[in-house]
Amino acid sequence: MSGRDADPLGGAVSDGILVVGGGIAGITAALEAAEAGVQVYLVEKSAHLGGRVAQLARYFPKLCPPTCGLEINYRRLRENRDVHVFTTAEVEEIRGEPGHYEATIRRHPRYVNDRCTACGACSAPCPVERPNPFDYGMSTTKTISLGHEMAFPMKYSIDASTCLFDDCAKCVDACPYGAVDLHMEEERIQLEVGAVVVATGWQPYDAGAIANLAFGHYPDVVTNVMLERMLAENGPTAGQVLRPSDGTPVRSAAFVQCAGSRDRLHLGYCSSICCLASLKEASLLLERNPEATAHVFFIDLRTPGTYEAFATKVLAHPNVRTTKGKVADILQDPDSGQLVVVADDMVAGAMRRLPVDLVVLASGMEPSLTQGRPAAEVAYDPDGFVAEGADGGGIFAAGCARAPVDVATATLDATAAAMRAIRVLRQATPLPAPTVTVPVP
Amino acid sequence: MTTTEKPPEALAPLSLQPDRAFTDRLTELAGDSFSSCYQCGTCSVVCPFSAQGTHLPRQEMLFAQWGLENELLSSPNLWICTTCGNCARLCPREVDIPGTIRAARDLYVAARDIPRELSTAFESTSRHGNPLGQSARKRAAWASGAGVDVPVMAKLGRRVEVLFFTECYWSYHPRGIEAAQAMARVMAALGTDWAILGTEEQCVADSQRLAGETGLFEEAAAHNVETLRKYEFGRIVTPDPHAYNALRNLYPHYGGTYEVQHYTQFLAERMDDLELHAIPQRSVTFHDPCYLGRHNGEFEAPRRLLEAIPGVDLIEMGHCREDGYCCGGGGGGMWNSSFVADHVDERLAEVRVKEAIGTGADVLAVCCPFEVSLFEDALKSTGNDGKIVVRDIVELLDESHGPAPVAGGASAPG
Repeated sequence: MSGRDADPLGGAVSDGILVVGGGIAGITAALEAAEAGVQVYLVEKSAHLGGRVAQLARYFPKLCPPTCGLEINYRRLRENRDVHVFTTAEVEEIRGEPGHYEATIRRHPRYVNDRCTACGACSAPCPVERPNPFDYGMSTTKTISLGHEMAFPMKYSIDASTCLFDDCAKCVDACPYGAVDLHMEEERIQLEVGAVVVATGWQPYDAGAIANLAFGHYPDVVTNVMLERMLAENGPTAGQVLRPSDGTPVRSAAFVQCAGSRDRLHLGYCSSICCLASLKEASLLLERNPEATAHVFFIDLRTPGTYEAFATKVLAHPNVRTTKGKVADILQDPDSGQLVVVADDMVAGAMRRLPVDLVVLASGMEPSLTQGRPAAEVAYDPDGFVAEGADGGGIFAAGCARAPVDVATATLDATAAAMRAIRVLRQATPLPAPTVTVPVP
Repeated sequence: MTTTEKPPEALAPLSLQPDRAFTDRLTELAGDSFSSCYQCGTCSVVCPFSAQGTHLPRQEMLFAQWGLENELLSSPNLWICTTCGNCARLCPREVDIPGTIRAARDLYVAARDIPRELSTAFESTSRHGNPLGQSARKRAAWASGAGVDVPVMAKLGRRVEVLFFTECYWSYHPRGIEAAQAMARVMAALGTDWAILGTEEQCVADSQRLAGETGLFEEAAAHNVETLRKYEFGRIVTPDPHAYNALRNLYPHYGGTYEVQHYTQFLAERMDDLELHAIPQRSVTFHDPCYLGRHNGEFEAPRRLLEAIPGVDLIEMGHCREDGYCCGGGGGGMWNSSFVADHVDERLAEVRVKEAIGTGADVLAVCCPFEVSLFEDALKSTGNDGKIVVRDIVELLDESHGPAPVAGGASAPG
């Protein structure tokens, strides 16, 4: 593969597995299946693999950066000829039955071909700055960009919604390799596979929909994924935690748990990772700004299983404070301009008004397939997660497409899904029965 | 760093003996949604009394869940709540909080002595058909000062397009009467085919219901449905959001199904038919009535009326629309101000007029009959008299639709 996008296959392919989604779950499922000897077609909507994990500052509980897991996986991908990667591609339709599915893939033009060496010469003369989706709009990039330095494939791409195309074409002239092709066209690719793994992941719930939490109203109210980018060394503030309103270091932050989750008006379920994510972000904040105080406001602090030890360690820090009570109002102090979070403190039995520099909404995880579902015999539960087995058992969900889970669970889930997908393939095309020779005495 | 409103009061030891029989009685009246409360405290933070450390209604939902009858019924919060519904709007468990409070009041009213002012209002409603204690025979007296003909159904003896349900405060309260008379002039200017019930009308008593007097409400509903059955009309229009709420949502359960509009909705559809001139007041802020806005979803009609007045600039308060701040009059609050004042530092109307003054507007526009008097009193009690003028929207329209003002001739009453 050498990190290149797969060529259109030009014919029927069977005995393969289609993996939808190139985040940590999809990459894992693809590799586990391919390393077991199966042809895998990995389809990713955006220009690069890695998904939400690539955007993290650190994993919990070990606090290592996402480069850890991703780089190993990218190496495995490069070394494996059985994973065929399609980026800027979406699955439009899946028809058929276990063992025999036909999938229609729509690959959007990347406008950059395989000659790209990621030298960056194209980006410099590009006149269009656009909000960088990788940083949730907290930074900008050129419309021809690499996404981020850990991109896989290591190839630039053009954002068609902002590019000026032939009216500009400066990137075409700047590229020394002839890699920019503004006339690249959309392709439709047909695949025949025996099983499908849906690993379409999650997106942050729209914090603006939670009217009383003032997201979008005050710049110093951010979401947990935004803070994650601030904490990342390759993020918009190069790892510093600064108040968006004035760029001063954050000395106090309120983590607002269940911002949308466990709320029948928004997400009826527990997003399961936000408590741990906030504790992780709190400890990273204290690592960057040792004088700071992190205040965690929760209904219940949910740190299941062995994560309890991580929670205990973070909570033992004198600058991590907790309040049992949900933040339900965010005001602005008219004199200082500082934000004030308001919660009813269940333990103290008193209304708490706490001025802080930064408010971090632990906005929950929503399944990505809330929109843009492919035409397929896939069932969804009432919350929009993929419910398995509706077609009789050839389409499996893994990771956050199935349920809100942490990275470690997503990878285990993906391995299990790969295993079950392989089983469907083997049942559809049975291996020859082994010959057993019984020694005659 | 941390500020707390008040030092937490010493917690009296509670006998935590869940009384299932009491929760069953509450459930019979209000459903069991309170049983899903998980004590997050969203309600007590977004309650208009939040700043005053009441923990209303989180505390009451806990008492309800545990079946702590005495704690729930003895809580002053039970009578402070105005059923404004901001808690229910944001409750992550979708608990019917106003309904649960109402059910607890029902159980209270049946067993205990309610605050005195409130019982007086209930008695007056029962005896005179209005909570103000005015004579039922004078219910239509306001019409004589309107300067236009105000037809009465019984005398008209035919179908009308609009049956105007005046309700008590526009019938009797001096400031309500001014608004009613303004309404009559606007109706006349529109050439509306309309009539009132006159002395046959009786209080809809929705606020009495929410204050725990379901029996009174049901008697009133029976009377009004019986009266309305005698007449033919296209729709009912009322100035009172509480009456609008009951006529629209509850009367169908009592045998009366009508097309019901709040007056702002009726007029908003007809603004093109009214010739309006600029009025001296230029900037206006608007207070959303809880039972028109939050409870019944109408936020636009009043704003359309204000925006139709030439030259008027509408300045919104921070708390507006879904997040509107209660005036304190709903759910029986209109007749319970001494009790409320004994238990909180600041009345809601007092908080609200300060927010209104903060906008810098000339006029605080309202469209609920409780609000004019509550806000005018609050301006006086907070020493802000004269800083903003409280007017019903229909009064502004009445002023605006008249003959174009002669320069220097018109002035804002205040």
